[in-house]
Amino acid sequence: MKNAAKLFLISIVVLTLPAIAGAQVYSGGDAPRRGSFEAAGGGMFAPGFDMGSMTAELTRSTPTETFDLFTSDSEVSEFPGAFIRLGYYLSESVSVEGGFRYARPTLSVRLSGDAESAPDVTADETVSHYLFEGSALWHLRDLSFASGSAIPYLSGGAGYLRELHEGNQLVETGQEYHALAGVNFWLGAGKHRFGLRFEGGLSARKKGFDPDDSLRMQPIVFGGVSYLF
Amino acid sequence: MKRGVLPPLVALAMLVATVPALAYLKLGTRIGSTTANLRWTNQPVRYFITDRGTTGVTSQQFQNAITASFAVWDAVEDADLSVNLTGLTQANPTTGDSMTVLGYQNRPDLDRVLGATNFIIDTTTGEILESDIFFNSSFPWSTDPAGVTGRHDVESIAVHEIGHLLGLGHSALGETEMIAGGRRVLGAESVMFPIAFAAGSIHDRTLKEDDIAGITDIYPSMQSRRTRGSISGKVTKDGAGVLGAHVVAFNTRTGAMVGGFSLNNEGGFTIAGLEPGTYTLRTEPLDDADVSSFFDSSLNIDVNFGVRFHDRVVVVAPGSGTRDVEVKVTPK
Repeated sequence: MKNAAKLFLISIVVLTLPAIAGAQVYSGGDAPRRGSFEAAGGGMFAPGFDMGSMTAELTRSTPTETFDLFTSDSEVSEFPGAFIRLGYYLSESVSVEGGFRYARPTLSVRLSGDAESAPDVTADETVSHYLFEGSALWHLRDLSFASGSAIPYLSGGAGYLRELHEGNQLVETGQEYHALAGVNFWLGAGKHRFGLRFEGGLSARKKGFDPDDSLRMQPIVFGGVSYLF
Repeated sequence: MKRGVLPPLVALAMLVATVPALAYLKLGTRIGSTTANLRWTNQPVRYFITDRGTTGVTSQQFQNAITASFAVWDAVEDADLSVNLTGLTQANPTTGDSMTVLGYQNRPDLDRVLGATNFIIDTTTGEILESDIFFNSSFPWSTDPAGVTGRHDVESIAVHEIGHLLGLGHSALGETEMIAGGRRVLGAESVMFPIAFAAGSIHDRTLKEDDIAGITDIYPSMQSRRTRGSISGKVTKDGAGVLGAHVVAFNTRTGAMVGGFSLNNEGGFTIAGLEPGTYTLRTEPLDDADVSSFFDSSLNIDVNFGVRFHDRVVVVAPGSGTRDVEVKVTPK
């Protein structure tokens, strides 16, 4: 008799949840909820940036003058890359996640204006960009749409930047900070389910191969798949 | 081994032994088929100063300028080098007295020589046993902190000559133009450039990155072995090695430049003592000073090619060397 009562109560809960979700907020059935994990992975893209100019100067006799031998203009190409993350839901609205990004941008140096008319050249190298990051996510369940299966979120965090030049012997490190907005499209409603994940925002990097000591802001977008478990 | 100004004046390093400049900015001596770099193995390098001034420069001012010039090299943190003023002497800077002496000599016959550095070396090891520097008192000199127009700055010329005394050859990191009677310096980025700035300039009191890399290469400290790196490779023209090409490594982050030469028939070059970072390479023929300022005249130095940038960024990591860089040049 007791077992029969349990079965009955559970059935009620399961059957009534969709109605509650439709009327108020989708709560995802059994998940995401406190204790759930979310694994995500996909691609990323950030635009390149100008790293400034440098002039090869020779000292002249006159104290205030220089002889310009040539000029270099450095820039880094776009950052197409990949990311993986693992998140943990502290509550239905808050999760934390750690992850890793990888990209292979090209560092280019345009050499021009040679005093002895050397032909202009663009010298380049490919850099391996690694970022180990941690973030806190605030899931905006009140703003869910697509029948509750799409849940927007805001994310902020920081990362440790590690960039290796060609040959993998010269390593330059730095920091990264990001503020992102995104949305999870959950496919299905089970405790274990897949979803699509898109986010974009601003990433601020400092140091690494970038000679600029100040924070450099870059827009950045991510797209990928998630798995909730 | 020449230094000149307008009109060309020369600081000539007259070498007692045959020591052709065979490394990029190091002096060397041939031992069989190999080259040993000239260096002091017994340190501190002990030197005397002749207790005598010249017109416009008292003995005390001369001593102060020489001491300051040695201190400039001694201060290079990454070089394991120490010097010591043993004392004043009445002796002239002449070779063969087992004393390293710096002092004035009146040599009006050397009308293009501001100063000269002589050596006695062990030709089996490259060890420098004695070195003397004379400053030609037939020219006007000054030790004024700001320099005096028309007078040669003792400290600037001394820093250059002491660079030779420590084992450095000439650097080609400069640009000149031909004028009646010689060359005029348009700009230089190395104290060891063979042609001096105009009289009155005090630029050469301060070492440039090229000089620091050179002295660090000859006397590397334990730290610099870990923290500095090198670039090596070859310069080729139509597939064949180029001898005597001047290769400049340009640090894309700091703008610092360090030069070297291709030193064999395969076009092989090494630029050592480099700060870690990303570099571009610029290769040019040796046309901004007399070839004899750098190389033995018996060598067939190739100057028939155009200035060229390498098309790859070259990475220098701490404590290691980037090898096998091939810089291709084309005939003029």
